[in-house]
Amino acid sequence: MALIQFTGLTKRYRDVTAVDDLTFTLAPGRVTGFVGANGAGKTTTIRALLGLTRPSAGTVTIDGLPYAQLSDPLRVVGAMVDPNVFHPRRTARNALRAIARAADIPDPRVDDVLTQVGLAGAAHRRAGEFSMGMRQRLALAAALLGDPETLVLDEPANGLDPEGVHWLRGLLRSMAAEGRTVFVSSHLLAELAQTIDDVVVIAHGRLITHQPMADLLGQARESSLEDVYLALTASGEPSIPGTPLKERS
Amino acid sequence: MKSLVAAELLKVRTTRAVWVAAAAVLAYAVLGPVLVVVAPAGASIPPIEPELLAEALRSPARLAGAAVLLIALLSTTAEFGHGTVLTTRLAAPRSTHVLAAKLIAMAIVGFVVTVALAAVSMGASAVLLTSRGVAVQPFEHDVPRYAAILLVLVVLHALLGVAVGTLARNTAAAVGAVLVWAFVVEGVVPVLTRRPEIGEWLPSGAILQVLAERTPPGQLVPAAAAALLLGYTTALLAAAVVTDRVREL
Repeated sequence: MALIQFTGLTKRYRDVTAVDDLTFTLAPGRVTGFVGANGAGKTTTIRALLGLTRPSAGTVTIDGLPYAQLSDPLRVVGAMVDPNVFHPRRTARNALRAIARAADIPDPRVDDVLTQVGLAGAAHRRAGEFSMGMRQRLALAAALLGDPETLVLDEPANGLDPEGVHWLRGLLRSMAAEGRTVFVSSHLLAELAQTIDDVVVIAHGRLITHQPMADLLGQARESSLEDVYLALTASGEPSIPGTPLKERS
Repeated sequence: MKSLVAAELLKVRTTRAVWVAAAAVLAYAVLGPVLVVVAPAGASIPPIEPELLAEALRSPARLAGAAVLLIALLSTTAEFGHGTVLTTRLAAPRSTHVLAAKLIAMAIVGFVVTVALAAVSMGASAVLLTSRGVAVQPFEHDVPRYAAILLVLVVLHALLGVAVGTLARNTAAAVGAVLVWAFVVEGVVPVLTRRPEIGEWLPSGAILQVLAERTPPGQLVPAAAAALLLGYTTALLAAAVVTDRVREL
């Protein structure tokens, strides 16, 4: 299964440093939550991982290679960066067929993933007629097309109804149980806490901590991820993994 | 590359633009012969003679070029406008490959539109000629030459459309730029420079020269005008490739 390594990842836009010297590794077989405030650099980090933006410094590699050098990228990484990535007049099935064809994925897989995300009945409806939640499911279907070793999802629970959130939780857990790497950003901390094994917290583009959830909650002696997150980001200083949280202040 | 081209062709087929534009061109192609048939006695109509077949290819050439240019423009800018460029790029991370696939796909679209146009336009004219007892001579009177010119013109328009669409990204900006160039810049430059002969060296003027039945001495011959058009297309494509390589999504 794919090993994803961020090494000194830095991204600057003129005078603004969106991501600042991020270094961490994503472990296979675990769901890693990626947590940070709006503008903390989560999306930029994910886009750098997917080769959609070039790092100013540092690297992100998947099994030692940048995304752009993967020979069969959709079978290695399935990604959802934005649910609004479908032509409104194209049907859900045709939207996925276009992606599948580009990646040499056979058409029957399109029907499989549409069924998997609960959109089989809407396969012939245009994407422009979809609700936010349906577009989110369609974007997830696109991420699952290649039956990837790694799932990278940016705010996947946005717009999903409670049933959808429950389904997503089960999907992420089952993917990790199969040994796949799952990296999911969200600002819905209560929801995220029920799903993840590890957590990466960033603030102002800098790594605050990267630890197993259980360790983090134990050290912090806090009852929820939200409380831990607020305590961590209040100081804004990076922690050394394993350093008890209460001792940092 | 074959998969990427297939994906691009699927995208074109599953939106309206190609069908509407192709239908408009084909309707125009049959309009001429139909008007001749239904024209009232005494109306001014072109003579019904064997040269009509060549005119059937020459007459709709500019409209066919414009239609294919529009298809290519819309197809390219829609990728950016609807965000489908993200899923495309995740499936095929090398931007140059994606651009090459789109160019090949649009050239194929141009070829298909040309063949359909030639078949409909020449078919309608042949029916008219036969009904008036005039010989149908598809290999005489410059018919093969105009068939080749039509194909070259339409394919060049397809490539130009991809280049301009890639550079502009926005549909309104791309269409606006083409219209302003064709109807304002090319009209103003010869006037401002007080050198009307410059007009034939500009893209629209070169198209007219390619289609000219006779070339007066001192003007661009069709082959030179076609080479000039190829030069414009190559320059715009080079700019599109460079821009696409450095652009972040």
